[in-house]
Amino acid sequence: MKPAKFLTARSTVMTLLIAVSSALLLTCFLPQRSSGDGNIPPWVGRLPEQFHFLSSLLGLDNIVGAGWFAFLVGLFSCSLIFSTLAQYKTAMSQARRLPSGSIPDESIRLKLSPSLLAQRLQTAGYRLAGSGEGVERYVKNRWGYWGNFLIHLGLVTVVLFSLVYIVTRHRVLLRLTGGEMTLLTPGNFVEMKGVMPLQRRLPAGISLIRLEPRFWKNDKLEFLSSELSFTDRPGSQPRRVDVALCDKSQYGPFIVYQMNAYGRAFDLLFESPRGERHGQRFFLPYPPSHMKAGYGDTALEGTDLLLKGKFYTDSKRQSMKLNSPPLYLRLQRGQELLGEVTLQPGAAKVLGPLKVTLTRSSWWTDILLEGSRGTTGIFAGFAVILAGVLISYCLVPREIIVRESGGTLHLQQVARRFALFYREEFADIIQARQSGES
Amino acid sequence: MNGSLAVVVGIHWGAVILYVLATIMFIVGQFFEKPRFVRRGLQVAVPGLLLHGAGLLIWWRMVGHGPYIDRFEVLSSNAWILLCAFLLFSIPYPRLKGVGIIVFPATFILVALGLFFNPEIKTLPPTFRSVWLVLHIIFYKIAFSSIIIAFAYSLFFLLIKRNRLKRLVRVLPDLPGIDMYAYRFAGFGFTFWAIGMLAGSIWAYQSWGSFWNWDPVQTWSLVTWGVFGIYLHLRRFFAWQGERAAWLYTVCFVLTIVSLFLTPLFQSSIHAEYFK
Repeated sequence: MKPAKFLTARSTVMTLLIAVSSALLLTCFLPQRSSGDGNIPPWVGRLPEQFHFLSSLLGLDNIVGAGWFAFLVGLFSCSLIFSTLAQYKTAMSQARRLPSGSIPDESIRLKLSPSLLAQRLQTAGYRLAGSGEGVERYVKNRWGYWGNFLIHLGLVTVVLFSLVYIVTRHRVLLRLTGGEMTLLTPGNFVEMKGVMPLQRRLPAGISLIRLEPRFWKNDKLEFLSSELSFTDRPGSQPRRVDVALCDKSQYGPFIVYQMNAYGRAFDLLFESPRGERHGQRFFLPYPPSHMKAGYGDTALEGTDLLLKGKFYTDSKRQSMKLNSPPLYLRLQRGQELLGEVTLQPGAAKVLGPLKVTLTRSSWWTDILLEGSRGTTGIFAGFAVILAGVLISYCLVPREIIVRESGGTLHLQQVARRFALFYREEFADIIQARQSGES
Repeated sequence: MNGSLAVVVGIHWGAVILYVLATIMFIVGQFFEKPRFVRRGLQVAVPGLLLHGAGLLIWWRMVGHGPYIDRFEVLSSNAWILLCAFLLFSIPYPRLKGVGIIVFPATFILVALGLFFNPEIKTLPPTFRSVWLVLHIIFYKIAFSSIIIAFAYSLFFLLIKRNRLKRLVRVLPDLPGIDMYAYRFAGFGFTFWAIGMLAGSIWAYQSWGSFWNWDPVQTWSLVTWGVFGIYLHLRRFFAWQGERAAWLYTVCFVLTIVSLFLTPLFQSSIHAEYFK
């Protein structure tokens, strides 16, 4: 069996499709290295000894990066390429083929000059696509022959560019706080890397210079933008980058996105009765309206205590604009309330067993750096698939084969799909001719 | 602003009255085989469509965004596109006219329903500003129109099969023809639904840097598209036709209604302001 025939056989295609889909499904159930921080996920360590070898052989913690998966996708791509070539040849032969001169039983007999019929067919949108010994082939919607080819071409494009995306995937999500530089050191950001990430160098640090939320009269968010400052390496000249929701920017190889999340960050300094001090930053989301608060809670580091907080945009609750809002704090151990305070920046108060000082409050927001490649190709591939679907669905090619025998014309209509749908069109051509004749 | 709102509401009610008149004439014409009434019905629908379109344009100018957020504007624009698609398709396919028995009442019911929801000027979230969003919505509206037309044919098939709609049989294609029309328009809806999802995916990527968020509205949309795919696949490769295909299509139609109009009401999503 020729390799092309084997790769395009229905059973091979179905097997490959099921194998690739099952592998991808498995990645949903087994935490993968590529979806985390690049480290081996904990479940691998919990496996019994005898399964370790099997797990590392099959690369179960990094399925998309495993050799066997690449082999499967490679085979699938080859199968698609061969299918695309086959579709190309089929479309070419369908567009050019000339039917035999033998008259089928279902053809309709007409006594009419070929030139008059040709004129009538022309009016109905049929064009001469070939002629031979006593036979002429008229086709309407010749583009329709190329629909399947385009679908396959689009599939090849999507699969190949998806591979590019998987390989080059590099997304970095980080939270920035106003007035300080966030260094891109491990622990300060979440990074999602592809199988073989190109070593795109991250900037050394990013500062949030300014965050500007704007609101409609009904308190809904109208606009959110950030002015950022990127420092390529320590000591180098920073570069300003402006982003807004729905208005991304480019920084080197990365696309910078403004994310939806934003609010106020409160820097708190806690002092225990023994005089131990520790600082903690409390991120609260921006309130959804001027009458409602932005709520949040967090575990107090190094204790079993829960810190709950809220703030309003305006202490008089009249506007969505920030107007020196106090921070309301509650300290709980389980359900037991230990204390509650209201703090203005710089103020220090007692909160249950602790003394707390609000040292600073500033804006925070999330930023995404997207360095993956291949998305344009994936979208282009889908667009080609849809063009193929539209062409093969809306431009169904119809043929009228005209055979001449003994001064009589024999007409046969052929539609590869929805033949029933076009029978009236054929009847109209016949009917119109008869009317014209009379 | 209140004056403008009153104008828009008045124009919409004017369109509803014209649509109701068109519906009565059209249905009487079809049932009693009076082509003159059918023609008059279509003629009355056209000024209704123009008036309705003018109302939508004024509304668009008033609120500063397309008709895709508030329930009133969503339903009204869906109705406009439905009637427009029906009238346009009827030109190359005159046999399609029979489906007006469903399309005309559906149009005025959608507009009236929108008016009963109290038109409200909704503000646009910052992520709702993209040409891809506009394309995403237009394609879904076109898909919705063809899905309604296909549903009308599936319904005709089921009713005629049970010896109902005897008066209509003469103006509609024969049963295999009705079945074929349902298949064709279902495929058309499926294709535009897919293009709508693709445009939405590009919009999401442009806005948030991710193609897909498994948001409830997105998930239901994908499920609906998948079921439409199964319907078409069964018809194309497993020769499903007739009654069982019509019943399966009815399931597809119910899913369409759920994903377009019910999911946004029950679950919060990134389609935050849509149809709320």
